[in-house]
Amino acid sequence: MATLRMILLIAMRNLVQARVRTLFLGTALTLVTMLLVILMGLSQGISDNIVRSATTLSTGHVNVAGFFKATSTDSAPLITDASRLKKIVRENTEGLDYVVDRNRGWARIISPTGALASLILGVDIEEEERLVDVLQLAPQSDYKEGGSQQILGDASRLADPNTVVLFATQAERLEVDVGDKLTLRSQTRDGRANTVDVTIVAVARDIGILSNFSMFVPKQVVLDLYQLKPDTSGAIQIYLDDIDRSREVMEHLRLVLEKEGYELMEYQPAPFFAKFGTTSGEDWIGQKIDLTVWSDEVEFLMWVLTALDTVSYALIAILIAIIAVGVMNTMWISVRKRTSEIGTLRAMGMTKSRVFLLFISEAFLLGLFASLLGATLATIIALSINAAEITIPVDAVRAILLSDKLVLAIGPEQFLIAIGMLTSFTVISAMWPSIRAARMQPVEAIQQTE
Amino acid sequence: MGNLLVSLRIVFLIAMRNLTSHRVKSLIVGSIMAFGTMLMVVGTSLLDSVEESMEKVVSSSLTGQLQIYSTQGRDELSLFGGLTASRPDIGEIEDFSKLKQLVEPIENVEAIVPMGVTIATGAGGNDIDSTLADLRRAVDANNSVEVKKLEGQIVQLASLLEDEYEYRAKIAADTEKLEQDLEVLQRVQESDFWEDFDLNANARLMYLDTKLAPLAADGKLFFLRLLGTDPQLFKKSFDRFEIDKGQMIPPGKRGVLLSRRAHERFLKHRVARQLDRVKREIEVEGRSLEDDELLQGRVRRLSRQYRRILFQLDVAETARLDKMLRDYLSEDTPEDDLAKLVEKFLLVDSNNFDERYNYFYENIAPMIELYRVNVGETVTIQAFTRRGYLKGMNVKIWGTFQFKGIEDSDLAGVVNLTDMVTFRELYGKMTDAQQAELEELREEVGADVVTRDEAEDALFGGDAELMEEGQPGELTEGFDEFAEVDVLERDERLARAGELTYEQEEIDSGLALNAAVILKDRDRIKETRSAIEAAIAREGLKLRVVNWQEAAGIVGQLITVIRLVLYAAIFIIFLVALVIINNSMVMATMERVSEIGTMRAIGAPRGFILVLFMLETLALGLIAGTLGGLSGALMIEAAGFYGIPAYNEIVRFIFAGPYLYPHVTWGNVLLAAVVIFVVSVIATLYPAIVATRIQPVVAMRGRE
Repeated sequence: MATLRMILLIAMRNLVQARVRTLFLGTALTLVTMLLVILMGLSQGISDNIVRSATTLSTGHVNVAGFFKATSTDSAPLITDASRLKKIVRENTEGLDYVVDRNRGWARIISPTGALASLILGVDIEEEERLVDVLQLAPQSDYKEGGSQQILGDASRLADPNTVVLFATQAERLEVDVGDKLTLRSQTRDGRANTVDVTIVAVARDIGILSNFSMFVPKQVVLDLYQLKPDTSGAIQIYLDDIDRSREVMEHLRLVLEKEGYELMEYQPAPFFAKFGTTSGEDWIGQKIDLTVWSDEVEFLMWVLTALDTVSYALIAILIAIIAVGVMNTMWISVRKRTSEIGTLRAMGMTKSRVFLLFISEAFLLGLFASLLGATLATIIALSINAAEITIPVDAVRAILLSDKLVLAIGPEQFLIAIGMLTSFTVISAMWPSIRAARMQPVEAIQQTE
Repeated sequence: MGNLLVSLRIVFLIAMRNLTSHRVKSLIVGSIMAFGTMLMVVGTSLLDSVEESMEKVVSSSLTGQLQIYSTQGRDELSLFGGLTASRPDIGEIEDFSKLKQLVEPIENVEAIVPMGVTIATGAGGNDIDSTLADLRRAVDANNSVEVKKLEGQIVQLASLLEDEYEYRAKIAADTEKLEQDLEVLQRVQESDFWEDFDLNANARLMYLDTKLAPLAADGKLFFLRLLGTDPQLFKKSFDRFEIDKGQMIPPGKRGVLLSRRAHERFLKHRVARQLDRVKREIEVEGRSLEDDELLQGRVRRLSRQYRRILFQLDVAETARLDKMLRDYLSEDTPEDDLAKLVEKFLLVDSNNFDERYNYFYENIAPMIELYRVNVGETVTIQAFTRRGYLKGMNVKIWGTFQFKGIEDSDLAGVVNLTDMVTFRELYGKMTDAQQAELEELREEVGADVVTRDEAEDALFGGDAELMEEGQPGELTEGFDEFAEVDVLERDERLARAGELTYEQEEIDSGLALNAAVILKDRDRIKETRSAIEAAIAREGLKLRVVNWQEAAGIVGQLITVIRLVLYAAIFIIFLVALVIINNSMVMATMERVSEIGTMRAIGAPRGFILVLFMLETLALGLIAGTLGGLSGALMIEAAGFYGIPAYNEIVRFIFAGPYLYPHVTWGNVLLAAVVIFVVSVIATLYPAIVATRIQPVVAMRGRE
């Protein structure tokens, strides 16, 4: 213990003595750590955004949905007897937070001055208290030129019949405000055009690109529009305490539902709207249940994360290679400069492994301090970026990042990973020069300096 | 002079000696420099190639080099799709001929092509429709044997539908409506409906058309992105354009040309399309049926689509296919019906995929309807006009087209072509005469201008109730312009759709949404853009000019984003490299303190030391840069020779095709050289200054 302390002290002294060297290498290490933390934060921020907008708008952690085929060429994304299914799910899900069910429809939304197409999500707002919290309402100025900073409306008024909550971009496009009327138009299951008039009760802030295509209405609106029976629904969305258990819960529910006598569709990791073509060509009539996890329903967005992670990893790998070369070079020079010192230490009876430890400790301390500094600086930068609420100016970037604002999410995980990674790479790079130092014969080492 | 040369020579020699004697340092610094250069050459070349291929696809298929459109719209032009699911409002160019007169004479302008995009839906008809059409022909020909046969088919279809309608009761709220429909289905199956069929043929056919046909309305709706333009001018201006199947829309004739990609991807039989897709995933994306679970899942789902084949076979074909498949699969299981056989056939694996793929196209495809819409057919399409009405019309499909060299790009296949006159009708632009007539009418009745929502209300009813059933003989869907026309005339008009004509002047004088400008010299795009902008400003037109990248919408921006990411990455890499190189150089300088001190002691000025250091780094930079640049260029050229495969849909989209053939742009190599030069100089600056500060006396102190 005492020796370790002594070794660390000597290593520390060496670092302080070789100030210029330490400073340069330390700067490089700090810079790379900062970059690593910021890239990880960006990736995490985007991932959080996708999860947040997906689980608010289009999916639960696990979904029990399905298709109903009235005719063999039909395919309607519906579940009949939703309440029974919901009860089974509720009783058989471990670690359940809450369960909701939503009706889904696709309609043309018409205002006096504009029109657009959107998913309409039928919700029972009393069942979905969380939704009211998650949906931040937008101030009038977000969607109306010269609008006030005031927030009008109230999402919980979705409890009233024939109401709608839409998003700021949609409101801007339709040129409407809280209290205005919209007409929803779609086709019933047997192909007839049908419309429902609704009143806007709130305008929510955008949640990434997905919110351009979604709006909330009471369940009854969707049932009316499609002329459906009351206990028909679109999807039962299960929210868990721990989103990482989604897959496990889905597997379990598949078994449970099979036992309950439901016919299940083969697992296909794709959003429900990608399955119309397949189901309409299949040879069955009636109800089949389809289970998915949240990432399946936004599968078309996951490439963004993959691309970002690939770029981050490639960049970090290149930088770490450069850093490793730099560390090795510096340590190498340090070993050569201190040849006589090593010789003396060895002559005094220091073992090879101690010498090795001495040099490794130097690299370790340098790596640790530099990466700690880098991670701290990166966190400060990230926090100030988040606080500044920078609006992303390019549409394409907004679409790719699923967010209007630049958000970096840095948690303890990212912080520790970055420090751990950088420190270990520094130590590994110092390995070879340290071994060389340890192998020196005391006599030769002292002689060399002559 | 001679003196300078001599000292330069000495400096050079010392520099070289230093480089070789500090091998480790030189190797490290050199390899970082080489790597950086290589990365830059590879990265920028790849990106330029991607941009080039995207420009090729975008500008030679749709946008031209420049696009002109109104400043009055709410949205920006995005010809390849934007961020909302609705049709963007890009305003209108009210009189294209005026713009044409203005832009055409401008130097470097080859042509200006009028354009306008709208989305139309088409129905390829369903089983009942085609059976009813056959029935009508049989009635016309007084072919009672055929009528009898078709009667059997229709009764069969109605009984099938009746079963299915009972299932609907499980989800439908409006049971009254269901009962009415069931009545129709039962009525058609009654024998007295057919007994006196000959006597009341027209009335009965009408009943079948209006009552029975809508019940099987699950039809085959498809979407077409239609680009209205001047077809002849389009063909001339976009020189990659070529006809794939069928023929070009003849001059003055109206009609539609489908893009080959759209035809293959959206209008092809689902089984064939899925087989194509599996083939592509195996061949281009390098996936294997042996161990790729996603691909296996795709094949399993494909095998369950056997109904799509069975449904399209008649009795004789069913028997023939049954025998063929029994032979082919050498099945000895007589209890298997054809459905089972087809399912087995479609369940391909890695050993038999190629064989079955070919078998499908050779033997099964001829029996089925391989495309929903065939070249030469006349189809009914509908579109929402800008006032919100549904406008329906019959158009002739003259052929399919593609763009040479970019046949495989999904991007290039996003639009189908039609003539400007058809487009204007679908878009809802009335001719001046129609407009004047409407104005007169309005004045007579004193009506207000109809807004979009009122139009929707008028069409579909303002509240949640279903539209009331119309009078007998009237279609519930109010879009068929021939609904109340005599049935025989309808057939005739369908046949005539390909004969509708227009004059060239009609295309030019009138509305367009945007216009593509084709340039003679594509490199002078900026200059010509300003010239056009000036001309527009002079005339006071409310129009703006954008380049192909801006006009493409989000696709064009994507390249900018990738470029930003690449530059940021390169910047960061060089920044870190700079610190590391600098660090190594300082270390090396420290080692050479006594040597430099000695030089100073024997009279070398500070400048000499500085030049020495710079020369050292520059020589290293030159060697490393050349090596890195060359290896980068070599990599790109090799990749350009073999082609980089796009391993998934996204990359395929970015590459604008299944392969990217990159090539080195020497500008990029030069840029890399300059950057490496600058980095070298900056990295050496500090160590060199440190070196010049070394006092001669240090050397004297020497090794203590």
